[in-house]
Amino acid sequence: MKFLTRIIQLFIVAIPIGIMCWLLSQWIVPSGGFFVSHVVGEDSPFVDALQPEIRVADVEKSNAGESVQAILEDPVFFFVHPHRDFFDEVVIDVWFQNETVPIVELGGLVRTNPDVYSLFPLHNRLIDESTWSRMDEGGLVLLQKEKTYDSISSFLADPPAQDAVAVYRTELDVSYRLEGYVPTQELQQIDVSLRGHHEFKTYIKNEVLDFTFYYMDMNRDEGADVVQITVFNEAGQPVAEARAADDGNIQDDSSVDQGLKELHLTAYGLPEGVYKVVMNVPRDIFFRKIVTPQQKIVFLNTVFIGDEVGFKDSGTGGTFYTQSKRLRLQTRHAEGVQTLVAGSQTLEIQEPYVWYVLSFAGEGLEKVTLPKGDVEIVTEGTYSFSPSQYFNPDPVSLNSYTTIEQLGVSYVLAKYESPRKEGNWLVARVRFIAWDLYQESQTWKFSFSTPLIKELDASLLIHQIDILFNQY
Amino acid sequence: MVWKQKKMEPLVVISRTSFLVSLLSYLLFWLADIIQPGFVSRYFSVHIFLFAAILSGSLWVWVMEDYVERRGVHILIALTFGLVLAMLTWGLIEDVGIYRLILGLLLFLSPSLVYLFIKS
Repeated sequence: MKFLTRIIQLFIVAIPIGIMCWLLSQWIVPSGGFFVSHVVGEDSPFVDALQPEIRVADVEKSNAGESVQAILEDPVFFFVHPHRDFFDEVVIDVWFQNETVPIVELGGLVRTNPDVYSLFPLHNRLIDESTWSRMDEGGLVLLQKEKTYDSISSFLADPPAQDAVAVYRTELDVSYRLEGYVPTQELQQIDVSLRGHHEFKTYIKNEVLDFTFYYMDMNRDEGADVVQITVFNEAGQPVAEARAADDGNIQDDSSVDQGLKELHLTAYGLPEGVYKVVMNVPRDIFFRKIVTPQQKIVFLNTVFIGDEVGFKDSGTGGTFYTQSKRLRLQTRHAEGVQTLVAGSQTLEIQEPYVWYVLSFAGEGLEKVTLPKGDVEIVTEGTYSFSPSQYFNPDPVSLNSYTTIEQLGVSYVLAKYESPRKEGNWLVARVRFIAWDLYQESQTWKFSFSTPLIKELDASLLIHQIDILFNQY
Repeated sequence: MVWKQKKMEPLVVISRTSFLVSLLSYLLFWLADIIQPGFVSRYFSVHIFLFAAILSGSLWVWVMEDYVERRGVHILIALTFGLVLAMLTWGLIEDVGIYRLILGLLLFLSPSLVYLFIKS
């Protein structure tokens, strides 16, 4: 009896010791990998519920008794709280069903003000349901209207003309060259207030890359406002840079004592080609004017036409040109409410913090005029601030708003792996580099991108989100 | 002096062990969760140990036949508990001025006062 009592005592003492050892192993992560599985509707200390609630349906049980939650509008996001901050990679498996949405992607927040997500495909029905000849190789997919290439390697080794190819989440290594381009010394001005981070591409041939940026540090947010403008060549290598320090005021007092400042960016002896210029600045920096002899300048994806408070008495907004067929626009202030003119149509931005969609049915360059600034514009495409500056240095991108046939190409090259099938579910895997993700209070934000989900009255059913945190 | 353990019923031994282990575990796990928030509470509630301590303590009291009162030990435990309470209070309330000191002192003494009240 005494022996049995001792055994029971030992067992009682061993329980908390065992639990502590298990907790320590969870904390230390000796294997380097920490796995979390979250079924929608269940509480998890690592993965929050899908938000906002108005864009998702209530969690329901499927016929098979599995929990499922429908995403009804775009975008829907969730937060992830890793318990340690030493992970190098986040591998996310999403279990879902999708009958209607053309392209579903998952993005990780990489930058704020404005929010920028690094997006990766979960499900591309345009590719998966295409009748074109398909090849998969090393994470790439090649669709061919008429089968010409035997492998993706042979396609990449000897690619067709750029205008015959559409790309999706990858780039085609074909150098873009403008036939008949002749450099000039005539200066061009972009007289539009551009707020914060922007990227544009320009074309250089036997000329000096030369930009003068006139900007103001508006000091509306706390913190130093350093201006860094970097030029990248076609291989993505930095070839020139210009920097300016903060004006010394890190307060949020809206003081603009130093007025308009000037920053020159010059690069000599660049070979012919397309160069990307990244204007890496916080939202306090407003570029009021850009002067350059370069003839071709197109801004990429996101443009924020800033207000002119503290610069001009009355805002003048701006006019831009684009070939994108779908733009999203938003203002964050009541002063930014306005009616813009786009060709023969108008669009009213009625209230702040609402994204408005501007669509074009026709082909070619469209002109959009904003009577006032303070508007963020997002598209998968490019903009210029004069028709003559517009050029299209990149292959056309496959997106939710067109079919492959409408693109008028013969090939589609995509960085995409189709989701695998697990029972009734499709499971797609996305890998994020942890250090690229924006982290606040040891929290990452991920967002589902489901364009057209509302317009198509569709839904994306989410069952489970598995996350593997890896430490190399 | 040769140690002589008093003979006890197995249930008394087991319930006493359970109580002491649960109470000690509660304090240690709770402390670990304070030092590193989420260390324990991400996985389960630390109060499970308190629940186990209450259950096993109740059982111990129920089956105990002999009781030796150790007044000195009781006072020491009450003072230690009071010190922990006072430190927590001091750390949690910083913006109440002089009341911080008064509250800290009150909480330091409260376990001892409760003990003396029960004994009286």
